[in-house]
Amino acid sequence: MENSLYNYNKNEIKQSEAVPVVSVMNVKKHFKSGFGKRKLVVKAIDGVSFDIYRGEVFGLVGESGCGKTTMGRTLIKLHKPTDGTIKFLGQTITEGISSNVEAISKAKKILRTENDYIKKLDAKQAIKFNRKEIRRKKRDNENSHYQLMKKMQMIFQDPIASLNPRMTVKEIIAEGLRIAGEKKEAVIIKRVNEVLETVGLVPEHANRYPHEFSGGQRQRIGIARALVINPDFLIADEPISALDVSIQAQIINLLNELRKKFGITILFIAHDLSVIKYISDRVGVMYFGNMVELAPADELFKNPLHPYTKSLLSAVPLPDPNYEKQRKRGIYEAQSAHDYSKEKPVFQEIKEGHFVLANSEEMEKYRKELKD
Amino acid sequence: MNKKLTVENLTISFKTPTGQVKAVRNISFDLNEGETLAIVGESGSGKSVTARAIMGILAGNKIVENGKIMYDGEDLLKITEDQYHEIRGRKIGMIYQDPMSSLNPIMRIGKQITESLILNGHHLKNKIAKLYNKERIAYFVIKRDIRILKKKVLENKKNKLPYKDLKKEIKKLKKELPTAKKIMKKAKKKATKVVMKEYKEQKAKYLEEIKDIRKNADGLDLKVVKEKVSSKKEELRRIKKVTKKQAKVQAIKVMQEVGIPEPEKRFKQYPFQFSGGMRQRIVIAIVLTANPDILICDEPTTALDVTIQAQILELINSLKEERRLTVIFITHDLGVVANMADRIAVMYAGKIQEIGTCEEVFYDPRHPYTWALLGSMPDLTSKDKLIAIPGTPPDMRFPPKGDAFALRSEYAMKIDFEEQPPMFKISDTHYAASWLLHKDSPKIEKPFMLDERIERMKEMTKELITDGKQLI
Repeated sequence: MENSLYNYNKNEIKQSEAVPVVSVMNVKKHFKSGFGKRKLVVKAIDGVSFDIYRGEVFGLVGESGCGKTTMGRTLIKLHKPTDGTIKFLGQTITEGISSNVEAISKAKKILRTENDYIKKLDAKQAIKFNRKEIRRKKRDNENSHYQLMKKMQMIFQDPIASLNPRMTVKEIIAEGLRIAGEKKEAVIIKRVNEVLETVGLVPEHANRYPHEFSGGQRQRIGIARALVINPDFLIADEPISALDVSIQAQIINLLNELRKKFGITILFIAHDLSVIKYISDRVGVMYFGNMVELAPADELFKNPLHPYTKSLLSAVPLPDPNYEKQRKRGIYEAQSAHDYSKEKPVFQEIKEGHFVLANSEEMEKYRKELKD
Repeated sequence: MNKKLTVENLTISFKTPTGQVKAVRNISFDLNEGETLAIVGESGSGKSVTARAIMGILAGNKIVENGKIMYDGEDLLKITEDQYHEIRGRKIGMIYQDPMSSLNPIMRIGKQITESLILNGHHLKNKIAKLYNKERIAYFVIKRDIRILKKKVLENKKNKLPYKDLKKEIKKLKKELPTAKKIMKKAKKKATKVVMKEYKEQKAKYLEEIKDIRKNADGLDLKVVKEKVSSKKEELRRIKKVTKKQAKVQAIKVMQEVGIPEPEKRFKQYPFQFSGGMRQRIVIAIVLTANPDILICDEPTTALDVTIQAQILELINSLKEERRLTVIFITHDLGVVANMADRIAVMYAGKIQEIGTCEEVFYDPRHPYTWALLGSMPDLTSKDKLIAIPGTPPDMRFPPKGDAFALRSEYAMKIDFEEQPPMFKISDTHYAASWLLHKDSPKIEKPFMLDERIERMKEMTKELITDGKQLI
């Protein structure tokens, strides 16, 4: 591996110039279970919007259960979104229909209760329009966007569970190529060997089975599998949290190198803030299905505004005993920290590139903090 | 300082179909009273095996080749299983890594916490057992000796060594066995008589009192009388054993101590109704019901995320002070250790590579492996490329001849591949096993990046103290 050739510097991206690779618009994902009294709706994602620009590493942090993995899985169409639109390379890949369904039921209510002729006509038109929309969206969602989705790949959290134990490494990596339509064995072998070398493995490893490898090497196989069809966009769902400390650094360095070499855009999901800070250009903080803060990494760690971000930052353990003994952890409780009874919070820009979830009262408070 | 636990030259290996895995190789350390010793290392470095050896719960294919674990004047590797029952759980408690798999999914939380209280709570039985304990142990010691001798005979037969003397010894011991059994049985009968007599007297007293209440000389309300009777009966039961009511009261007290809100409601719930952090609290509560002196935490926060991890660490720290626990904290995360530990032992390939106080290991690390571990962690301010440790830990079926870390170290010298380094003394509390510390070795400084980080962290700490600039 060309470790020594590599010099670290982050990609400087100005928002206005860059093209979004992925844009997520007001996406919701609700999981439903049970009927009647026992009906339970888990709002895993509840209206999240953000853009990911070409060539950057976008970090997504939050505690477990805040919806960051669901976000990644919805992006790659492993889940259907309940509502909202996801665009990839300028093309809509999936859309949710719940807003249309709601609009229809609202219009039906108007039809039942109102007597005004014009209002009724409007409602009827609305129903017609929304039904058409639903039909269109369903048709579009069924379209596989095959050539497009090839450009998006995913690395999974657990390298032991995500590799088929009965397939050799070569078969695992080549599977994507074969599905992509490559039939010549010689090309496949050549490509597999190439990819194995990029991730720091040797071509001799190709005929072994996953259980013969250590955790770090298995994660490298997972990365090789994602890289084999030259993706533009990589979703890394906690790729290092199941690995040992010394191996973690290897994988982080590898991802960093890949980004440099191939210009891959990466969505990096993790709950370890120091790793996120190290690898990402921009960071989004999620809390219970909502994006609470989004800013460039340095800015976020210098001026955290949302109380949840602050408490998250104060919980990071650092390798220094004196500092640790002085540090106090901040506790965040959603109910007591905000008063949203008068005005609902909106996700808005406070400074160039720095977004925060707040209502107008809080915005003023945050602005003051920023000036200090 | 009092030494609570001493481990000396402990060597453990496991028998597997492909050869002996040498999990722990000749390690020694002391555990002082009231301190936190952190054992840090990668997975497979033998830190969990050390902890399990102290608890006496190693897997069946273990081979304890050498060593001593001294606790309370006794060698834990030599005592019988019956004696171990007195220590395991009651004196040394352990918290496991995954809170999901260490709780029974089909048992209510309350039952799991009170289980040990109720099972160990037969006061009469315990009293009897205490009275004839000496005789019982004498009997079991003879039995154990016979077993050990028989093993030796078999080994000698294999290696064609003389074993006749051993057989004679076995015969001698076997003759002693029936008398020892008789003595034990006699002692047991005697003890039972004494205890039961005492209990019967107490019982008679209580029954009379109950009769008096039933007569209702003061002309009380019937309900009041009934309550009084039932409370008296409960007292009588409590002499015999720990009742469910009593156990519940104690369990709820412990649950409050570990910070579980609404313990009465939670008492009746199942593990799946708890979040990861809450589950780990329950596990800690179960351990605490037995009032141990030593708490072994085997990666208690690895399965949890940052905020929950911070909560659990704070909880363990506060419990340690309240209950004056001595803690062995096992982890692979050096950031976690900085907050908790008084002393740190860095393990690699079954050996302790560096041991010292927290400050010494973090500010003046001497072993290349410690440098690598510290360097491979990004902190909130690091910008440079991380120092990744190349390669993987060695296969412990065939442990390397020299320094185990030499293969992955850029500082390795010729001697590292030939001979194992001894523990070099740096200060009274700080030792490291690296040939770099030998007086003839070239002078090598720790990586520049670590110095830089230490400087940076010093500044951050200064800011924290002078400005009081806290993130929240």
